[in-house]
Amino acid sequence: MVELTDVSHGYGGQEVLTNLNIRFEENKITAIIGKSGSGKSTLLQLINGLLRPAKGQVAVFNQPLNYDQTTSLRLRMGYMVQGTGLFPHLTIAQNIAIAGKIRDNSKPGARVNELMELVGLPARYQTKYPYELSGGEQQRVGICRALYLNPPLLLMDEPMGALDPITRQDIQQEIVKLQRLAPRTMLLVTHDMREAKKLADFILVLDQGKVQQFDSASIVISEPSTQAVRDLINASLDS
Amino acid sequence: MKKFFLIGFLLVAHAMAGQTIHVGAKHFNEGYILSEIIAQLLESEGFTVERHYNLGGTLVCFEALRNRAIDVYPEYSGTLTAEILKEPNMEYASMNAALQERYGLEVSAPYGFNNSYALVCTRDFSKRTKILSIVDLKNLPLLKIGISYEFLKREDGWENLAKKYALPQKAVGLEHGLAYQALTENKIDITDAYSTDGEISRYGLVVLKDDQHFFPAYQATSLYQKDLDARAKKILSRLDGQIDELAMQAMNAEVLYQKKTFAEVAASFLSKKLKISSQLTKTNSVATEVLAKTGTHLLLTFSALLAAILFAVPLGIWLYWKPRVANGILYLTGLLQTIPSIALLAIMIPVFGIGTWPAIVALFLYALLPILRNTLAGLRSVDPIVKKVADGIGMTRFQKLKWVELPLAMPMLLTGIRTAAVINVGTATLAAFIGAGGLGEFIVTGFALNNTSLILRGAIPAALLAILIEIGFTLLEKAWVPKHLRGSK
Repeated sequence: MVELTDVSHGYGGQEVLTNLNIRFEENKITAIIGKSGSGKSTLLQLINGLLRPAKGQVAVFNQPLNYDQTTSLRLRMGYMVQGTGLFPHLTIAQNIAIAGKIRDNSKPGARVNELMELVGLPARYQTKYPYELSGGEQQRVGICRALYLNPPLLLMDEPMGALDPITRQDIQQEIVKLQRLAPRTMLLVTHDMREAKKLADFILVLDQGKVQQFDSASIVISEPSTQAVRDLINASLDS
Repeated sequence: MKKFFLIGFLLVAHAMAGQTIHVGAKHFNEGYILSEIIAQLLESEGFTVERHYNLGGTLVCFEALRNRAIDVYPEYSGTLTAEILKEPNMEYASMNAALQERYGLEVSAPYGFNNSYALVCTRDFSKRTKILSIVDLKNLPLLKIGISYEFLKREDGWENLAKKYALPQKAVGLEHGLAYQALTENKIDITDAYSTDGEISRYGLVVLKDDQHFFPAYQATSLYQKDLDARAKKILSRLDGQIDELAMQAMNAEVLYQKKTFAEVAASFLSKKLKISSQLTKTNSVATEVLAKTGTHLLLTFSALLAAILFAVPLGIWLYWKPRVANGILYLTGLLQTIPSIALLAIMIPVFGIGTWPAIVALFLYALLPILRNTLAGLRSVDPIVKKVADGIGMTRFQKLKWVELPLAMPMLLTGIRTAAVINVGTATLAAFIGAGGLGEFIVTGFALNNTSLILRGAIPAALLAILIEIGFTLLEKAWVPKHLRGSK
């Protein structure tokens, strides 16, 4: 599904990711976890082609990335970021259906209703603007937008980073529910080991651009392989 | 064969009758009257005359003549020697030779009056202070001296005059049309004047004696292209020695105080002196004239604005994508903004001549900076997370621009365009100085005649236009920008 071979990348002479060899499992949730500066966001941008690796090869949907056609490729990857990143000048319906507009200039369709119902948003919100919704509601809109074209791959860059604990739990449950209904490959960047434990089938721990441990969630938590992994577990689970 | 001769003759006659001569006029009372005399005289002999009045001072007139945008205008020998040839003490004949050699221009013999610069004060003031000549000013350092802007800057103007007479006072600049009022209301004590000004007799002013002969002679004459049609030159020479100072003062006063039009004053002079009767075109009603000039004004303003939008918005987008060159280009457009309007208009003449085109180009240049800067600032102010999402979900660069960046930059962009539009409505009034017409014609002529109602006839519609533009853009913003994203008002 998604595979990185000998990938290294850096900015301005400083290496951010070093020699990664990773294969993400299809239709599973993998949490990518690490401290800030560990290179986890860079990894996500390498996968959707926003960045091109200095060395090595990235393959998505079992094919090496074609950097001339990244936009059509990205339509098959849902994308969520911290703080929702909703377009402030578009209505909720327009926000959710933006991928359809990008693909073939289509107008928001029945799919908008379907998705809003799925995440528990009232239909009357369609004509509202993002600023009129609470943070949790906006995040649900963000999920709907990412799922509009039913992409087989979903990239999430700390989507719950700015939410309060209760809203965060709601959204986490939403993601578990969605995955049960229709499994897809999800890559979730987070710095919270509890979130990883709750949502992920696999956990990839990054520290200073290097893979510390990549295994099923239960094994990473019960048998941390390095001090960096132990620190992350302690920092998240003790607090 | 006879037929051919006849046709040939008719063609030549037609060409002569149809030959167009462009007559310019400086934007002051006497300039208008003399130009109108020239124009009517040429018309009475079958020439077609195009009038380019209100030209902004010596610089604009002379540039226009050199660049063949006009063929003839009345000028003064003192101005030619001091300002153009930079040899203040030249004789009339050698001046004519120098003009021919250096510029391919020529003057006719003088009209017969000397309109020299002079310093004047009220009779009251003169009695009180016993000031009769310029030398007397030396001992009164606290005098308030208000000087027209042109006189302040001229070679034969205030600076060198003060040097020659060792005058201790500082002079302030003011519009010549307002100087007499300031003088009679005792706001200033001394001002500069022309010796043929109608105001001198009207206000009973005292002309201070120039004991040291600082002011050169200002013989009025027709200045034209050396290769001007020989017949036209001959016609113009009929004015040689025909106008003396009293006649000129009287004509000036007729316009100023009897509210006659330039055309009427010129026609009565021509019929009395040269027995020529002119066909006066009927003047339009005030309303029609205001409407026509407002139309011209709008044409100037909006064609320049439209061109500036079409140029500066894409340029702003390009600079947004190429941040390295952005600052350099912004600096350059900022530099344009610092060029004074009149200077910019004068710079245009060699390239675009006079009239509508140079005015539009100048207004276009002035409109660039606000639009460019706000386009760039608007695009840069878009939330980086929103831009990241646009990339991440698969928008192309142009989709991102069209659907995300431009809509979010729109409030700032509209503010920039609105600023440019208001600047343009104001600056377009100056376009009258290079013969582009518009509401500025009322204002410039009004200043020249010290006629407030004429000034207001131009100023009020211009102010209304500015207000209408504000309202128009507020409506446009309402239509284009969702309520919660509107920045201003």
